Amino acid sequence: MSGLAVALVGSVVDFFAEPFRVEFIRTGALAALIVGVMCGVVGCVVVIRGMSLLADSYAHGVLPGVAVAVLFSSGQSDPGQFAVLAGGLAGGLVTAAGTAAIRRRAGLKEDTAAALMFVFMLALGVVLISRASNFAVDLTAFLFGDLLAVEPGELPLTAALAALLLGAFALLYRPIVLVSFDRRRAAALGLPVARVEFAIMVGLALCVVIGFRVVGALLVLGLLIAPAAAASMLTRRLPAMMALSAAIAAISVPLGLLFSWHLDVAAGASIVLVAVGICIAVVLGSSQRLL
Amino acid sequence: MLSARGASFRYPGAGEDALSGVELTIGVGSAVAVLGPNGSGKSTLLSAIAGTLEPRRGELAVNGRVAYLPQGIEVDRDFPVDVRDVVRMGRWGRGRWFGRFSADDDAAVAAAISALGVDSIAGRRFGELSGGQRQRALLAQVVAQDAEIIALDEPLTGVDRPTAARVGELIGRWRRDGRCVLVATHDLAAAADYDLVLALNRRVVAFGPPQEVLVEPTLQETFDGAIATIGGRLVDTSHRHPGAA
Repeated sequence: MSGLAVALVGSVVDFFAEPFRVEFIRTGALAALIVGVMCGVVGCVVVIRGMSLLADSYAHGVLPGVAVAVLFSSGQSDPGQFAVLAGGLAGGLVTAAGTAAIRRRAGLKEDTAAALMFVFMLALGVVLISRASNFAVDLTAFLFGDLLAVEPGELPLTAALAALLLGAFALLYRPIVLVSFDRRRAAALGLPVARVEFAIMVGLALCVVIGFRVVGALLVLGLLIAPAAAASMLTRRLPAMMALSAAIAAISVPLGLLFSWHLDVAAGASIVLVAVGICIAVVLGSSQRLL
Repeated sequence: MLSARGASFRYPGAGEDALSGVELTIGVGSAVAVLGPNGSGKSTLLSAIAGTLEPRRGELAVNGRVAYLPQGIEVDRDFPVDVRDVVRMGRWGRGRWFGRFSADDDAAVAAAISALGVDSIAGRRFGELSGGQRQRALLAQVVAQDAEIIALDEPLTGVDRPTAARVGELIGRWRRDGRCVLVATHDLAAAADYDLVLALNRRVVAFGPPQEVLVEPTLQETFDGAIATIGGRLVDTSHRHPGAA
């Protein structure tokens, strides 16, 4: 091999490897990988059930929960990872319960109920934040994530929660598929439909809460929807769709970080842009399903 | 196997009962045609037997597992399940929400697919099928449940003649096996082939053998006077397509 070829190969390797020689990039990449795989799988349930707007409302519902966590952490500059997660989860669950209650009591359609809770929780979050003088958590980081600020110590909790959530979805796979396929048949087969649907809503809220720390409350929706939408166009069966969706989300992480490093742009947004880009490429290029 | 004593049913949020004062007893090995115009309570009764609607008053006793075929299905074209998956769902309701399928489960699914002749489309996405093909897949799901009581809500909607014949054979086999079969239908001629006929019009108008129920006065009361005699046969005109001859 000539010296020129060696130098060329070295440059290419450097291009791909350089960002990942930095520890905070490696930590962020690992966090995004965990969140990406989790969102890739859970996003398939969101897509097949047509819950995209609901997922978006949960993402915004996290805001007042985080703000309350900050308000109750008076005197601390940083409310801590657990308090933020607990507050965010509470906000997501209130959004889920509120959406279900509005639907049931007012008889409104799901998208209308979800949009009502969405704007209510967002407005409530902004009001609470405006009252919190010690709100040290950067609102921009909340909305768009701060991937490169993820501490190595945060990874075990993120991984444990993601594993717990994916385990619960694996355990409830058949009930989830059946209620998504046809609620009447699910009920006739003895399935507690309302409980399964509540479990799905709690799982989605938990997914959003785990994900928003890494890619932000606005962009977590991108990782939930884009890989799953792309996978749905390439596969015929749900297990294959989940595996492909998780793979698309996973590959979006290193590619997004490469763009982010070399173009000096936001990391979380770059990952989501790659995932959406893959989805658009599939839309343009797919004529038939592979699996 | 199945009995009702003064049972009334009302959907959540509704102002009045969809079906009231139901009194009936159905034993093993009986095939029952459930007749009535649209909104008469046929689907209400079958869904109550399937356990998805509790009586508001009275009692409904169901002794045995129920396989229920509701009317129609709204599934997105892209919903990622194939026909085999849909048939397998029939086995999930037997306490198999978790864990692996047994050899018996796999055999029941294969037999159900074969019984409805959906072998050739078993790998096709359910949402991409025609209405008749979907109905065959859903009927196969019912067969896979291997239940003691089978409740079919207008099972022949959209199916071709060979499939209708297969369904007729299945009903005959279920009856011989000692199962209880209830079929909601508008077809008065077909109802004559059942052991019993239940005529509904938001209440039980008549219940008994076909020769007792399929008589003009009872049918006129059941179908609100929309029964005509065409070619010497009684025909329900309330359910005929506006453009039909």
